[in-house]
Amino acid sequence: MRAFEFPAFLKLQNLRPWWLKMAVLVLIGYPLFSNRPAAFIASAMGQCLPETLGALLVWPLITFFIWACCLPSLGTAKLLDYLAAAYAMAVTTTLSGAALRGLLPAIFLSDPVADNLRLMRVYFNILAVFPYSLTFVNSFSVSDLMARLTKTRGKFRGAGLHLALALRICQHVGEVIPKLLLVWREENPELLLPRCRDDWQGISPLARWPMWVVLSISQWIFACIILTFEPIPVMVNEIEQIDESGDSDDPDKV
Amino acid sequence: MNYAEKKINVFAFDTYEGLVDHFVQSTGIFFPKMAAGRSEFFRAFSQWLNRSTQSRSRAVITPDPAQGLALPNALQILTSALNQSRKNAGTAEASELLEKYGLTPKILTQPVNTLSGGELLLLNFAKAEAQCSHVKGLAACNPVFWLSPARHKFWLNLCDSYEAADKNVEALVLRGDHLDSSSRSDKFSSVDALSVNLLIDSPLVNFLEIQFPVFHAASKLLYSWVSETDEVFSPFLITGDNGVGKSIFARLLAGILPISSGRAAIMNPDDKRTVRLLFQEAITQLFAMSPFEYLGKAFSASIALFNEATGLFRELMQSIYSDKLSGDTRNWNSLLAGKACLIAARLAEKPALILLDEPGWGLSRHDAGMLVFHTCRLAHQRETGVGIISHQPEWHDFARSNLKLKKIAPEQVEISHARL
Repeated sequence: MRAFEFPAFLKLQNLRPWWLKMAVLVLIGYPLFSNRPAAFIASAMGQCLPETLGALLVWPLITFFIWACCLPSLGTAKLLDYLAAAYAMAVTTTLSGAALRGLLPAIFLSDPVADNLRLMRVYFNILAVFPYSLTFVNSFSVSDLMARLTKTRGKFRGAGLHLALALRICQHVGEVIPKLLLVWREENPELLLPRCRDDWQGISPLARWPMWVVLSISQWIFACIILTFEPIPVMVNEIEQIDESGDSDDPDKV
Repeated sequence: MNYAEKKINVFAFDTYEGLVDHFVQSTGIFFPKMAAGRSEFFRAFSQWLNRSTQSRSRAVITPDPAQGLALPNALQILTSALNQSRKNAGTAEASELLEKYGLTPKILTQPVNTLSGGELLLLNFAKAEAQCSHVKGLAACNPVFWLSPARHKFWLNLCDSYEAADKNVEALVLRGDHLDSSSRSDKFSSVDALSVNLLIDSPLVNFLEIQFPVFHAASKLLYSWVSETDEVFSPFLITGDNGVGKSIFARLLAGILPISSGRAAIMNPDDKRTVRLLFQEAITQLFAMSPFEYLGKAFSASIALFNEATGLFRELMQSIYSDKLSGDTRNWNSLLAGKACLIAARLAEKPALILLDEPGWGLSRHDAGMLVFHTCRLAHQRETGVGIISHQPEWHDFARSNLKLKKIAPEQVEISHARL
């Protein structure tokens, strides 16, 4: 099945040299690091729209902008995969945030409108940050970086190797999740319900599903952490091998 | 194949844990024992973080071949290994290496985590060959386990390369492996056959194109059943060459891979009975928990099934250890215990069929035989069929049917059935 393909020049991973790629990616993500673009767009929209509406629309607009920038690189199928995970995370975070605000009003003393706007902003931020950060991390090739470092000497070599390792670990998180998803599907074919739930009849529907979800989330968190950490020693070994091979080739080494 | 002629130092171990300990000691690379649970993992990992640095100049094939491949695809893995000896390698050199080890260059851009066990091992061989000129030697764990017998020659080719470069090769294997010349050729006990009806109606799987981070073309796989009868006899064997699509077929039967057209299922009057699968990399199915932690979580909403699964787990372990020649030194957090626990959890649910993908991986020949024999015994008592996916020839004497998968076209696999 041949998917629609965007022109190669629109794909961020094809940008060369690396610093131009980095600059373009930082520029795309700038609205996520700073409030200035959002404030500027909101004030521009405020001139033709009511003030609250401008503040409401600015975050969906920024999110759509980031998706549009990531889409040619990721392709439709991958973007939808990332968005599925991002939606799950965004809905969980905002719903639990709203529930906490309802349960502990003393801690969250503020204007309800501002509170709702803040939650909405968090929701759209998660939807934008998730695909953006995965695009950012995967746009750089660790093997290219390692190949470049094997030919270099000096103080940047060690720092570069550490950077390569950090980048690879971040990339590896994205590889662990599909692996765990397959295992999870075998264990719980309905994904959001446990396979074996004979004892659920005796428990209130309000308690049983949330309890299982909390248990599952903790399982996922630990499994993701452990499976991400698991190959680090082997990665470190490879990086150290490159470092050692460079040292042994260095004619100045005493 | 005469392995004795090769200058390989072979170390044979009774348990996976013993093999891992030796690997860690010999290479200095920390390798976690995942069946020991979370706290043990974090303890060992923090110990590794505080270790003193030592020389790393050996190529390695780790106890789990996937772990030794630290980059996302074959192209990056091989070019990175070749570039360490200043070869300025590219796609052509990487393709050449893959072909030398019986792999198609089509897998160059395929994500490593979608390769089969045999392909992973052969990719490890290609990588070790690329590293040969700049390392002092090779330490390889279970180097032929995942390979079909016709591909064992690639291991010998790799040894030849290291021998020619005057570098030593160390092979760590489990007792009873092809490389272990000291092992006994014990036969497995057999079980009575159980009839199972499969419904294989030209299932087609589509693998979508990957555009990011590296382009990989779309592909598909069509299975065709060429036997006159649908009836097979449990325990049945699923065999075929490396990369033919055995594990994919098992995933189709278990319903965890979507089928684009056709059907792959088991015919059973009670539709509620399912097909369960024990993966090749079964240890991942513990979800980073120890066996008892896993049982607690898997059956958190069903106390009756928890009790049933715990009972089966204990019975399996008891049966395996009562046959052990070395006496009862049972380790409840070993890979063997992890596999027994996963099987027990699946059997407790009384599925129509349980599929064991390379059940002998990480186990000595004796333990693997005991585990599968007692699994079949318990499964047949529950009217559950057992399918074994493996290259190991010893299962031929044990199984009652053989499903042989053969590629008849690049995207078409034929399944033939023979009664054993």
